[in-house]
Amino acid sequence: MNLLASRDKKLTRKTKIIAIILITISIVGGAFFFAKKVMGLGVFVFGGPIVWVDYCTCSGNMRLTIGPPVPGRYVFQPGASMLYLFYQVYRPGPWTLGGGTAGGSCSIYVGTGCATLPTSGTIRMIGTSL
Amino acid sequence: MRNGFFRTIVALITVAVCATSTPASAETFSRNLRQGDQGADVKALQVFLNTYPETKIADTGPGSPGSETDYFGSLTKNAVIKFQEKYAADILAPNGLLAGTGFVGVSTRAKMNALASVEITDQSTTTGTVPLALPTEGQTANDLVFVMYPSQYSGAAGTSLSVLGGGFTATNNTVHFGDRYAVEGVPSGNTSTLNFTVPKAIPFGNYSLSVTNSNGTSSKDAFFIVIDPDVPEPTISSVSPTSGRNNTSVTITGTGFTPTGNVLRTSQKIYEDVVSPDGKTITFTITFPLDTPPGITRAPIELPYWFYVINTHGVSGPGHFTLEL
Repeated sequence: MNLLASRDKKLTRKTKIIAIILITISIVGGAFFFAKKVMGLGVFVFGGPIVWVDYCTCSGNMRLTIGPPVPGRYVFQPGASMLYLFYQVYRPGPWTLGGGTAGGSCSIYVGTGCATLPTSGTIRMIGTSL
Repeated sequence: MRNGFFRTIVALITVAVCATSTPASAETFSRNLRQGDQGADVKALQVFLNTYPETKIADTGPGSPGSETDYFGSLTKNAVIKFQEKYAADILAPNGLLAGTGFVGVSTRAKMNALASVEITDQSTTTGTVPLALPTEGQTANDLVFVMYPSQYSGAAGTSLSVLGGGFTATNNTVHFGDRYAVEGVPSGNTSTLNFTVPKAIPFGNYSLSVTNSNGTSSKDAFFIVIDPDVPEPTISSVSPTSGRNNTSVTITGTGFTPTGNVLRTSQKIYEDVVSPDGKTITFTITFPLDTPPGITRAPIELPYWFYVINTHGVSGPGHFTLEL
């Protein structure tokens, strides 16, 4: 009985996790298709693995380099960029799906001052793999 | 008749077993073993017994999968007894025995050596004739084939699983669980999804997940944990402190943590082989390279920092810390 209850609990928990993943994909995927229609307003979408992370020490944010199939270099702005499952956003490796808007910048300390790294916009929402 | 029967078995989806640090040669176990013995072959014996759920030596601690030792103790003896009674017809009956003895003699060694050289087969939901094959050595990852994530990161053997990615071919995709196990002949209807069943013969454990086909081989960044459905997955119940500055030592409290071998996947880095002496707490230090440089004025930031505990029991839910920089 306890085994069945434990298995049911596991199934319920797994069902929840799967549902959360699907909802996340739907939200971000929905944003993807919506953003495609408003590209002219400076909205972009991206999808691919995080290839590199630059820690923008002067501006207090990060620049993510996203690999193909939909690559780009975008700012992750704490407080402005919404994080979704599985939140693995500050390291190379995880796959991402997200969107953002133009603007934002990343500046990094280079010993004698700050230098600006080129970016294509600021992330507004991003979901990742685990 | 025999060829037809063998072809029928081959027609099922196979799980290929390839050699690891313990070569599956025909004579892997070459000496008799008994309680009290020590040696590399004792460790190989434990690895072999842990391959099968019904002869697993222990769930945690010395002798458990991934923590095998070179000492033949009482747990190993009990596992040998279970093995001997599982194959009683081949091991016990010829010697006039009715119960396992725990002594690894000629008959027991012969059966173990025979099994160690046979590829594990299992039937999955994928139909069709699939030849036996071992993973091809020397393949390196390329961008043509990639695995993004599985539909779930943990599950029991027999679970229906989807792998999402790209570059999958219409037929003959091989899904690798680590370096030892694979499901062959998986079709893809859309080049981006593979659906199959996790074979029942795969032992419990944390496996890298990759795909090989005519386009090449994906990287091994994705993972899947084959869990024991009778063992609860790890959970995180609290985090202390919940916020702090850089280089803060954080303690995670929960359940289902293993003494060694926990993996902490955080937003910023992966901590490997994390210990939990009591099975309920894990402590780690957050070190984030985003401190304000000397002489630079910058508004303070609050960074969401998330983490998961992963071990052979499964994957926890998320834990959260707010990093103040």
